[in-house]
Amino acid sequence: MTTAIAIDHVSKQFGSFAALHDVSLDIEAGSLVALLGPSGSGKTTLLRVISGLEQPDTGTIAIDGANHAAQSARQRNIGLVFQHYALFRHLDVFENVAFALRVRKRPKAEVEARVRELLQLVQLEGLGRRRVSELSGGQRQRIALARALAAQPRVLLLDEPFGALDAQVRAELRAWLRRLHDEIHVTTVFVTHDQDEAFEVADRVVVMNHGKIEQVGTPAEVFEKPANDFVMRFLGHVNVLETAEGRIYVRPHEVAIDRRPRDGAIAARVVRVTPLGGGLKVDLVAPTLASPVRADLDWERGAALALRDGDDVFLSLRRSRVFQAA
Amino acid sequence: MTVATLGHAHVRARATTTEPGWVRAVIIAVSVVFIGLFVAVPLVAVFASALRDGLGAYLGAIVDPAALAALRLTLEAAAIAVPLNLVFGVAAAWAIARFRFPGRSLLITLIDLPLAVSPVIAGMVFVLLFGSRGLLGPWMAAHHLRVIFALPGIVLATTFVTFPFVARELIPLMESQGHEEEEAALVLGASPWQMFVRITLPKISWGLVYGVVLCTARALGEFGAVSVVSGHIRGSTETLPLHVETLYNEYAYGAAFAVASLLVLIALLGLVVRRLIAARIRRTT
Repeated sequence: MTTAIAIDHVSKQFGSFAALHDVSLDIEAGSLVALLGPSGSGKTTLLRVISGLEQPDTGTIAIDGANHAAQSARQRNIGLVFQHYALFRHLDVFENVAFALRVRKRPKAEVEARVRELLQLVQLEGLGRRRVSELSGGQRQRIALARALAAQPRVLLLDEPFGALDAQVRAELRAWLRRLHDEIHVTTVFVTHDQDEAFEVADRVVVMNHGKIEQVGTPAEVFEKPANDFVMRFLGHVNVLETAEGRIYVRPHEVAIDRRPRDGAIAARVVRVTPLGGGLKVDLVAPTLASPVRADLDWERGAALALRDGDDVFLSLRRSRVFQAA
Repeated sequence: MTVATLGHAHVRARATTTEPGWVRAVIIAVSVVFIGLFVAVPLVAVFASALRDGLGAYLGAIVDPAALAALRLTLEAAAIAVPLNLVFGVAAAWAIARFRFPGRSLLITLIDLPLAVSPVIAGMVFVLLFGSRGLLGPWMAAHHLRVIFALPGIVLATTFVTFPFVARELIPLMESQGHEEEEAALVLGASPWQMFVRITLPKISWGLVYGVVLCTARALGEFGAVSVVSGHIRGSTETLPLHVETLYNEYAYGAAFAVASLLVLIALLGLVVRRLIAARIRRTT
């Protein structure tokens, strides 16, 4: 394994706001990494520091082993796709994609060939002479990607790449970005606040909060073994139960419902049953628990139980977690 | 936000449609009569007076050596002042729209100063600085430099009076356009100069042209500040507006209005160009 991007003790302050607080992270060459966190968690700042658009207050960034913290954005040869694409409105699609080659004064024939190749890669051949304003959101996104890839960057960075698109286009582009990465193998880092997006596209997920990294791992690792209660809460709904043993965390799909009492089961009453995606969402209250509980059942289990609002049932927890207080 | 805006527009639309007919008639009549009395009638009067002594006399007054010298000086002063303000305007707009620095709000206020202060005072400031009894007067006399009663003074006064126009046009434009395209250009490997020429200039081009047209119109027509610093030396330090005044004071009404009509024509041309550019800006943004 070689490290493509080495982030070493990087901090960045905006006025009194600590956007990044002593962040260290190694990103493997050829990997596809998601920076996942709520807004204000520092993920976009981290991306901009890697790109060179922001200089860290302290710490270093090394790309391919060379320290680039002192280099400006233009010397790093990084591909960056902006959240709102930042396409050049006064240039057509072809010239947008060609920009990195034009400023490097590459020969005309090379520019022509490279742009044609890139437009083919993003499946937009034949749109070269279109104005940017004539493109759909999904097309703009792909042109921004082609433009970022033009000068064969060492690293590709994407800021909320699917944020501005509607749901269906977003799902298609996610799958497409994953396939594209498998094809061209450029080290890629993207920022998202959407857990599904991070899990579906990335090899590794970096969960961020308040300018710090909370956990790094594969999607399965961070979901199955969250390092702390923030990661647990951020990656999907969680029941937080105050019990005699302390505060415990249980995912809705880890709550089992039975009609008859089992060992250690908790008596509860069904408040509401809602069909949801591939199963049922059941809201319950239990006299021994301070807060309501949510349980997710698959269709088969739901049909077998035939729950109605107001039914008395018994809960058992298939799995629960306890975290040290933060 | 969208809902609030829509609701507001809706209320406004209803308000205008429910205005009683007579109110609309009065408002329109007041505007038309006012424009007629204060703009159209004087305009017609200028051309009528200019042509009062016939076309021959009109052309004679314009090709008079003093008038031609005034025209030349006016164009010279504008040809120096406008490019200066172009550079200053772009730099100031860039600084204000892109950076946060100490003194930024003071700079914004000072840019508007020439619009707030009487041009006569602007002229007097330059006399106080560069006149023979001014602060720098003795030093300049020792080095045989002439500013007051010469072209440099006229250029200074014109530049001072016209410097807000380009900057004021560009600041809101650059602030609304944001900085993302420039950042994209830098990450894509452009040098700061390449970024400016390939991205920023095309983005602001129409606003820039618009500002230059406003600036030029004002530079050609400036009277007060130039009047103070020029000394009214006929055929030498008289600009067109000053020449009009001289002719008028000499009771040469026909000639005065003939030269004045030249300024009016330049102003009308400027208005047309402005309308064309404004339409163009609306279409491209």
